Amino acid sequence: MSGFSDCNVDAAILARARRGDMKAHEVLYRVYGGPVYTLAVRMLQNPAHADDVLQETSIEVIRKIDTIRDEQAFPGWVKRIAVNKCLAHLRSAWHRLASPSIVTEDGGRETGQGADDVPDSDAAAGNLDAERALALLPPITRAVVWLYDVEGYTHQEIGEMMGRTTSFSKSQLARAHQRLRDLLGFADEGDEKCTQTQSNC
Amino acid sequence: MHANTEQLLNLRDGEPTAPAIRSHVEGCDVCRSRLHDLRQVRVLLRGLPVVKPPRDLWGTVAVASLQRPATRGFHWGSGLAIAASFVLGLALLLRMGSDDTDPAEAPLETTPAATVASVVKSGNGVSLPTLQARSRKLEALRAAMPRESEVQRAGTAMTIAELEDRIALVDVRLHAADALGLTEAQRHALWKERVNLMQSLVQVEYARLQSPRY
Repeated sequence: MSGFSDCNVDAAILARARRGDMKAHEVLYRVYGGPVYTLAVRMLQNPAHADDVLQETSIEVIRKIDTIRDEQAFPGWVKRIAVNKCLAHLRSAWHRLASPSIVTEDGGRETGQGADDVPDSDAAAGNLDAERALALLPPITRAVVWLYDVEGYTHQEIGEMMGRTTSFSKSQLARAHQRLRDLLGFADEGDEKCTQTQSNC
Repeated sequence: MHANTEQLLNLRDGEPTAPAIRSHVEGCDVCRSRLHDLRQVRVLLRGLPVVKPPRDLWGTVAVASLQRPATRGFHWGSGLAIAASFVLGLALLLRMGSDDTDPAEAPLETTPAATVASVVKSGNGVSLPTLQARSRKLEALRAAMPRESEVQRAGTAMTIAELEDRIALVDVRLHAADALGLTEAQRHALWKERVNLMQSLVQVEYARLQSPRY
């Protein structure tokens, strides 16, 4: 998990931060810094970019803190800011150059270092742990599986955040799981004949 | 035919699924195994640990957040602003002498520089020669940083310019210390503020060097 569920903030601290108290902002930063960085490093797989996301998110939190009134909503609000920063990085020209990937309008095809030409022999053998397997997914596919399976966003929310459709998010999630299954070494029984006697088998 | 991954994910997540698919999966070992795998992958992903940021960015964040007053039209680089802040600084220094208030611990509302000073670890109780030596080291460190010709972010450039202006303002006060009759405590506070500002400047420059080029 990114840890946002543990981001409990005190209403008094939030009130002080809204008044511009930088000490209160520092307290908040110490709470959400780890989750934001984790989210960014999982989605972007680049520590320098994760640094940027943490910095940009924190600055936006400081500047827009007066828009958040309920301390219960604070973790989700910060998470949404961080996700948008991550997606902006994924859309950036720098990221596209660093991780060449092409996604067609219908989301039907995406290639990248982790997608089809995995250089790692461990990957080919399906011996990776979850962290490395995640890193080998194409960027957009990785972002979708992280946002859906870990952060708990719906397909509709992911589609909207990415400027895509709900079905795009669904297909990317399926693609991610197919790849992760191979990378994690789960036995592939797809070619086995179905032993079920029902007509729909 | 077995259920495909998308159909199995729908089942896993309780999304609407055709009764025929649901019925098939319930009776098919292969599909049930795959459904289990999908759940297992999610468990593995959720079990990945929280990653701590390798370095503390709070200093840089606090400095960068100070750009907001500049966008409202208050620019430290303007002569009028420097003159005004000089007067304000003198007033604060004079008041400081009476109640021993440390500028590095002054509230945000009284001096923006205190925001910077409050977020970097400075030497409480450090002697004046030590502060001066630290200031020289930071100057040397910054001078040793490569000067790049690439266009940098406007926000970063403004932050750097703002910090440089503030350091210049502190220098003005230090140079006029004798004429102003500043006490040792007041000079010490100014040097401390200078070290804090230099440290922030070096942090911003360092962050700039580490930033990706777009």
